[in-house]
Amino acid sequence: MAAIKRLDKPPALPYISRMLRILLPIVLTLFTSSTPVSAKEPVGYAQFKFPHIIRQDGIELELFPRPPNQIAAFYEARGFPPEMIDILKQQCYITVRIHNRRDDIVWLELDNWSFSIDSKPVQRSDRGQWKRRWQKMGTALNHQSTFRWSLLPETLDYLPDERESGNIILPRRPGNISIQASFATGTDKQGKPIHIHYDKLQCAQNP
Amino acid sequence: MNFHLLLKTWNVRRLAVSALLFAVTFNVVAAGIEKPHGIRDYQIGRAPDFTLNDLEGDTRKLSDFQGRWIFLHFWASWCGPCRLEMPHIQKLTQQFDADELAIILVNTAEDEDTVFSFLAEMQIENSLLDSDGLISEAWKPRGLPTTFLIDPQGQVQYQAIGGREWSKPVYLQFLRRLIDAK
Repeated sequence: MAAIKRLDKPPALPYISRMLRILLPIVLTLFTSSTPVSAKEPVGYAQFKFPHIIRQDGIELELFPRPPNQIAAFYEARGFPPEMIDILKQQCYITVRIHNRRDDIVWLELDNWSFSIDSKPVQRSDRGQWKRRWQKMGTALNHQSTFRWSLLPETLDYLPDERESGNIILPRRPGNISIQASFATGTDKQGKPIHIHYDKLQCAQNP
Repeated sequence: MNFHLLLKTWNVRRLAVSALLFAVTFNVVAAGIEKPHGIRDYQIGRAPDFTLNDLEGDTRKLSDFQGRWIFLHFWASWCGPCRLEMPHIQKLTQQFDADELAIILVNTAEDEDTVFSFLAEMQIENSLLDSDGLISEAWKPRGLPTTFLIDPQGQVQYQAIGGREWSKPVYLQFLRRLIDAK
């Protein structure tokens, strides 16, 4: 029955389908080639694409630069006031996810991380600095709390197979970001330290 | 040594022996209970008490639940792993009677409307509201979500790291063994 029904169909459908098969790749090629992503980007910023994943010595480090609009949308949805969002939109947000795939403890201590943009050292804004800033502005406690939860902890002992994430915030500048991340290992931090260097990162730009 | 001092010393000794006996008994029991993946020993002592309102406006105190195991869970609707974990917690509520396992949810710093609509979606009736987020921070979870397991004597015993699939047999059996070992 199904075969008979197909034969009964008007001939227009196979024709349209054939035309689509020919035209669709052409249209897609035209669209993708006429709007190259890099042509729209200001120099020194990256488009919001995929996370950068670094695997070294049993640590999986995922770095995901977030564009200002995504950051604004996240905090707006949490009811943050515009004056807070305006400040946060001007920062360079990088979501960091660390997965300890080792059999021993890996110590995250953000004081042991350093950052530079185009070889010039930059300072990460830590929790204490943000707290003082929000307190000075009289920010509501619930927003301060949610904001703190969205940050990567300053210190954390990653147990085997533990995976935690959060944001680090750098000054928003064009250029290549270089990250030097050092991790102590072992229960008493006496294991061989792990040093990860990555410099293929840029602050994300709105698409 | 006068009589009062002797009595005081005797009481202190008796208390110390009782505490030691309890610790030994608990550790023997706990040692026999294999922990599933993602659950770690977290013996930080007595659970810090707190008082919070729930979604219905009733005031709840953590210590009111003492006498049974407490599953204390910190969460927020914006946290991805919390959203994944919540259906498992919903199933957990159907597996245990409230008088053997008190499942207490504490929402971190969100407003009532957000909490209400999220929990309705998850078919969970209630949560405590840590509106300013201060209780959550005092408890120092490693991140959100975090669950603490508190024994019937009010001592924190375990911490669950990240979101766990609580409705899986391995976790249900673990919780059942804890309750039965009481």
